[in-house]
Amino acid sequence: MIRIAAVGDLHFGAESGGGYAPHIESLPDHADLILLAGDLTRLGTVEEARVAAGELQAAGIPIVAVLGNHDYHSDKVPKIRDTLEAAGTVVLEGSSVRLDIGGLTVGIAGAKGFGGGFVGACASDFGEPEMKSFIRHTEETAAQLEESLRSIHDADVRIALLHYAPIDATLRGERPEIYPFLGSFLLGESIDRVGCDLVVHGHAHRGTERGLTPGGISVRNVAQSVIGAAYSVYCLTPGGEQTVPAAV
Amino acid sequence: MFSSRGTYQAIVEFDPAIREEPSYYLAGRLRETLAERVGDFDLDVDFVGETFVVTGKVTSSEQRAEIDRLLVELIPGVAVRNDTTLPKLAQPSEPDVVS
Repeated sequence: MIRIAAVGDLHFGAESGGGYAPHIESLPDHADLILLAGDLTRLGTVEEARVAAGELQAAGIPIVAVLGNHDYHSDKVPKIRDTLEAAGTVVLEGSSVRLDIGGLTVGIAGAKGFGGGFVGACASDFGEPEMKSFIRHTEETAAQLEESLRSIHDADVRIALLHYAPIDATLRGERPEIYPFLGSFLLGESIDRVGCDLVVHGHAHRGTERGLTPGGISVRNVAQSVIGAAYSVYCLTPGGEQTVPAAV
Repeated sequence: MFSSRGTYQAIVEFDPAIREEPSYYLAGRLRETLAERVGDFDLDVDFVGETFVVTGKVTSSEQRAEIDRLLVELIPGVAVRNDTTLPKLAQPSEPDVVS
């Protein structure tokens, strides 16, 4: 069994040093790896990324992350990525990584994702260039996610790590008017085409933790304000049956 | 619409292009400015009586103090109330067995 800790939207600020590390010092007792579902920073500055990297050093287990929209805000993504990777965090964007844990291969495909909305209330590749550009970015990131998932098809445990939501069920609690800015069904479609054991995302601070893709894959919204804790732990047994969440 | 002199002055300082707009727009502009400056889109701004009330969750006491500072900077002299909250982290719940 693999124990996966996950959290998103930590939003480290320049003054956040020392606030999170104590909560993850005993993490190796509870989990085999930790996934970060984007928005490690508030304003996307390198200084904030340094704080994040410093705090995460306390984890003591492999860390795999995607970035979120806040991490893009100051146009410093390469430096933020370098800062996190220098501290040992694997940062994915349309890419994947394999980790050997206890003799099992854990494959993680990661992408930030993007918005666009969900079936019946979504943006279309139609009209003004700005609208077409918006939805084409989502199409591109969904395609990259799908390709990344294919690259880990033979792993014992396969996880999709996103910032934006691939389903609307984990957005319940948010205002429906902003769903198109919180995720896209195109991401869920890519996931269901290839398959995996668990999908983790953040971004929807007022959403719901548990959901399922239309294809029956478990999805968890791990935005910190949703889980209300420093992290949540999800247990996966290779070849195990999916446990349907009661709240769906 | 705003009518008190203090509010009018503050609006002019907040954005000289604005004179007497409905509070709906001002609350909206204030919310967007706060969210962008502190990087927190969980904030809401409402105009209650003659007071701008900011609500929502922040991630640190420093962020909450920054909202106080920005309110003074953006709308000096206007009655404001910072009702944002700083949730405490709970212990992680029992592991969720997905499969």
